[in-house]
Amino acid sequence: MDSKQEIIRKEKKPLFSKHLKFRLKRYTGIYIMLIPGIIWALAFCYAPMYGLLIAFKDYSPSAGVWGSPWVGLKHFKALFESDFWKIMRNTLLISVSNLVLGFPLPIMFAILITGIKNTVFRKVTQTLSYVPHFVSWVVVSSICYVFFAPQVGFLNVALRNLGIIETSVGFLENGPMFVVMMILTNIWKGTGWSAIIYFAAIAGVDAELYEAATIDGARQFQRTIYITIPSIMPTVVIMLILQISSILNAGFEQQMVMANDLVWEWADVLDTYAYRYGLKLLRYSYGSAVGFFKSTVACILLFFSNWLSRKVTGYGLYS
Amino acid sequence: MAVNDRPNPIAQMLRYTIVAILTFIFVFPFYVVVVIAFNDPIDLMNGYPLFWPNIFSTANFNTIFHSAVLPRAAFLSVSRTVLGTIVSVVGCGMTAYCLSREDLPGKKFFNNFFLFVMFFGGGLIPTYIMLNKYGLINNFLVFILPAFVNVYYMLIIKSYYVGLPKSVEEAAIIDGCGEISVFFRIVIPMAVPVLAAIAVYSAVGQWNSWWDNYIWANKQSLCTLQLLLVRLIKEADTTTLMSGSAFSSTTQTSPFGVRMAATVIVTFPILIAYPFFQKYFISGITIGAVKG
Repeated sequence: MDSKQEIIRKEKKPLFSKHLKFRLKRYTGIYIMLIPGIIWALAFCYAPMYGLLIAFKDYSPSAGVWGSPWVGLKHFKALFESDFWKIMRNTLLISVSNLVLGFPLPIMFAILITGIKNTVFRKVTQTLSYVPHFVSWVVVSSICYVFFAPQVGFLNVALRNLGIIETSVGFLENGPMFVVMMILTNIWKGTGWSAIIYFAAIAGVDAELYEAATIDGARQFQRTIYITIPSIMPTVVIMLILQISSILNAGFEQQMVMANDLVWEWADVLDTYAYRYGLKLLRYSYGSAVGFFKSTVACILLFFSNWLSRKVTGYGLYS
Repeated sequence: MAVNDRPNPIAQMLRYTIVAILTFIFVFPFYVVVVIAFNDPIDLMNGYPLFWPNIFSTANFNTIFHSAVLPRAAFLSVSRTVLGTIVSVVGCGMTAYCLSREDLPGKKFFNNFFLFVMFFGGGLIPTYIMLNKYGLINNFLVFILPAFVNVYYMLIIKSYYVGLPKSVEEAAIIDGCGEISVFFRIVIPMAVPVLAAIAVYSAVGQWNSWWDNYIWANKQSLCTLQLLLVRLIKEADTTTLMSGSAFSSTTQTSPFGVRMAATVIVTFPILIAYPFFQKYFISGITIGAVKG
């Protein structure tokens, strides 16, 4: 077999000489076309990475990144001695809850919806389920107020009318309650969209498997358990690994628009903390130390999850 | 088909009900926003209507349409969406083409050069310092230039290019096309679906983006529609915090109705365009998924 293929490969002449000189000449235009992209990456990605040096310096805008004095790990020490554990608790609390509650839902939703026989009903519900993904967090926050505001919000009104509570609950004014709201809105916004990937996976399952199972007497529920779920398992694993790699992303926009001073104690995560304490209070070096910590851990997590994904499923995330 | 294929009617009923309820939960909040936006602002102080306005009125919209900041904000939102999308599609499309060339010398280096950006980033404050250096802080271009390449989009496009049939390209090359004209004459026409999908993603992203506006271009003359809505929300927040309740009887008219009207205005273009673009974003996500 191998030798045969070898022969075929030898017989097929390459379109162009593989010689480096020829290739360089042929691709001159391509290199020119690549320049803007490279400038973009240098200016907006690599330059900020260089700027991270200020995490180890006392940055002053007049001295610039390179000219500011080195201070070693001073800012990291300050971080670990002050708010670090609180911020980490919030970050992990929010992202782990998002993962545990938000991850299975799209799978269940996709399975439920693909089992529906009526095409029109299926198409319409499926299409409507993505809508929340396409509105901004600003809009979501605004909508949230209608339902969860103190006094007049629908939830408070309903609970009062049912006699469950006497005075209003500040769903958006109480730390732990706010975290619950964040997770709920996240799920509301993301479920339909995340389900798309599973719709595609389920659509890719060999129809013959279902036919065979049906002939063997499997009911719909059994077909779901024994065919659909095992078939989409690789997709599930990849999505899970992908999610785990971004465990430090516990929302930024969401808090920025929804949070108020009463809930920051619970809503502050690494990203928002870097903004609030670094940029707003002009403690650039301190904020960069927070960012440096986050970027480094996120990078390690991503490499690890990529390795894990290759190991478990045979697919790398980016390759 | 086989005898047992008839689904259990109760299970099927249950399935329909659950899906219907979930869809209701996804969509109903938007409906309520519209209802409240069309309710009389003074009546809103007694509570919010749920299914139909208590007293129908367009006063909330009048307030917004008469505000001096709206035209400019709308213009900025539209321009950043249009310009940002064009720039992004051009940037991602051509960079992806370069990286998709099989025997480009240094291809591996360039690929890793862009991939690394996905793995590691400078973070907020160094980015701010650099943007400041470039003079992009409080500059309209801060919405456009950083969006030139989005590595994730670029990888989606690249994997689509790689999947295109090679024979067409080869035929063109034999006929005397250079690499660049292959791109314009062969690859772009064949890649329209993926480019359209990416255009939709960036357009929605640009339209919805507000935090770059909030952090990097927070001056009045650069306020987009999204930031306008943020301000309406935040202002209500501070009054809530200061007076206990923004909706106490001391308030003249509820600012809430205005906020809802603004929400409708900000969401409206997305909902209008939605039926047209929804087939593209699905194709985009499945193209991305094929590659993994």
